[in-house]
Amino acid sequence: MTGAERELGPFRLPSLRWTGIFVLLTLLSLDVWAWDSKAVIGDWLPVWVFHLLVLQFTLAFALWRFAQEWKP
Amino acid sequence: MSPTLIVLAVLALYLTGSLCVGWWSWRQGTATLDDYFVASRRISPLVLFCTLAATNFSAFFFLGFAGASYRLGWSFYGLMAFGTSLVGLSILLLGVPIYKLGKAKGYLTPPELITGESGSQMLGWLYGAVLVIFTLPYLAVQPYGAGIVLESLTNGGIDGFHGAVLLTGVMLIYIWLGGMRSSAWTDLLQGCLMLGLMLSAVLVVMQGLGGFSTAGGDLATAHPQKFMREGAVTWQVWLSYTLLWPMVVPMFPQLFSRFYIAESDKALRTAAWLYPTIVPLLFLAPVLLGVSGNLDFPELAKAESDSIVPMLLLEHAPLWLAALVMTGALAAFMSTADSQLLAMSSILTRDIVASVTELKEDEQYSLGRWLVVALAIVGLALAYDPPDTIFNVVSQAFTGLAVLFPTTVALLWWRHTRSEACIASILTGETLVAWTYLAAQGGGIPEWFTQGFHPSMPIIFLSAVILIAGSLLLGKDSET
Repeated sequence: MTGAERELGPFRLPSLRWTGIFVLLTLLSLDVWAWDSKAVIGDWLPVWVFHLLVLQFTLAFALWRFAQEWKP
Repeated sequence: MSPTLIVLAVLALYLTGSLCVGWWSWRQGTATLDDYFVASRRISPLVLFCTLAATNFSAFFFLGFAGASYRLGWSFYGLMAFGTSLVGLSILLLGVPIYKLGKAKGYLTPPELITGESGSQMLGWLYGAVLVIFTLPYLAVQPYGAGIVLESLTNGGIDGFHGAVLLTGVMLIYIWLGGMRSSAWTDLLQGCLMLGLMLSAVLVVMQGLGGFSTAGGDLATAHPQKFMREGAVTWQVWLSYTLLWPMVVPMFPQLFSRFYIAESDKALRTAAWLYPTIVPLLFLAPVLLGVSGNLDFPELAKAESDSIVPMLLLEHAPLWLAALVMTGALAAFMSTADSQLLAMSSILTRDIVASVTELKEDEQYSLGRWLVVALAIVGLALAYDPPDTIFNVVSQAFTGLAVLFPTTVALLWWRHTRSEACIASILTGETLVAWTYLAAQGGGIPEWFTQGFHPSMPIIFLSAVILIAGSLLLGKDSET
């Protein structure tokens, strides 16, 4: 640093395990292996949108757990 | 009762509600600088989550989302949803450290933290200048858009500019009174209205179209491409947006400032997981409306398609309900614009005026309130006849603000960060933003630069590389 003393920072990064979980969820959201999917659920919801919904709720659960244990 | 009177009655009810909430929250606070700009850092988890969400989701969420989905189909959900859910991770990883630093060192604005943590006033000014350059035009576009909504709602009964004056006036009253506290509490009201009214719109319109399955079946027959990603977006663009949202959203000054207002880091931790819990379902609503709009109104031009939500409502709902739902769009406008006003006022007060002159806290408090008024007047003046330059700057705002992400992350997380390298990173990034904008106006951005990704990706990557390489090189120099 060029100037100020940093009494609080730099903060601690998330562990490798949690970093891996968030990267994996992001990669799964790409869903490239079914990019040309035409399948729908209930005649109106594309299957790939359902897949994204599931991943987002998984992300919410992961964040809930991570938020409980992470101390920066 | 005439249709215009119904719309005016609904509008009056909403504006009165906003004023009452703003007045009530002002009565809970104190007339201090800390209370005006960061609500004395006492905002509870639920209100914090609502104010983060309502501030982020502007009138674009209510109208532009559906318009883009009309044109692009369900693919637009993919471009927006997962990346916005990842903002929850940013709230945690950036929000908690920013909250802790703000509380310990009394920071009130984003550039104050940057100056304080880097020890470089020059870097703080540069950071603040970028925030102002890309947020002020945004602020001017908001009343313009809200005026258009009001004009179409009243069928020309209230013209666009007078509508913008009315809405800005109401917003100004509660922001003048209670600052951040009023902004946060009115966001609670406006956020609930946005959510409830958008879901009501979906139920009414889908019922009018014969139900979810019937409408979906008809759409699959008439427009099967609206269900597919292939042909609509590439995986590179998809990944670009997924990564862009968690990087740029915390860089909006109105969002960054909200990390300071939490009553504890627990409030931020709660907001972090609530974000991806609500976003997936919330985003389904405008996308579903936009996609389904192809059934009733096929072949709309781009400008017309941005009005697909009011068009569908007028087709399938009674006027009073259509007016009520469109009030949600006005709520979305106000919840974003009031936060932008306050954030700009705090930066100009603290990082510009107070850094070059001696000002007591009560003088800063007074100046901050008057700057809110001045900024609102500037916004209205520009909304009267917006020059093209404003829309051009707004179109680059996301990438322009995302350039600040590497600097912010490095100052919080990396002990070797050098302020000179941060300055070089920001200047290079913003030069590339200007270059890609000019290139897009000409023959297009060269493929060798983007490699198929959104231009923000190589720009952020290069900004980060310069920051890291510069810090390491300067660090070595200082050791020898």
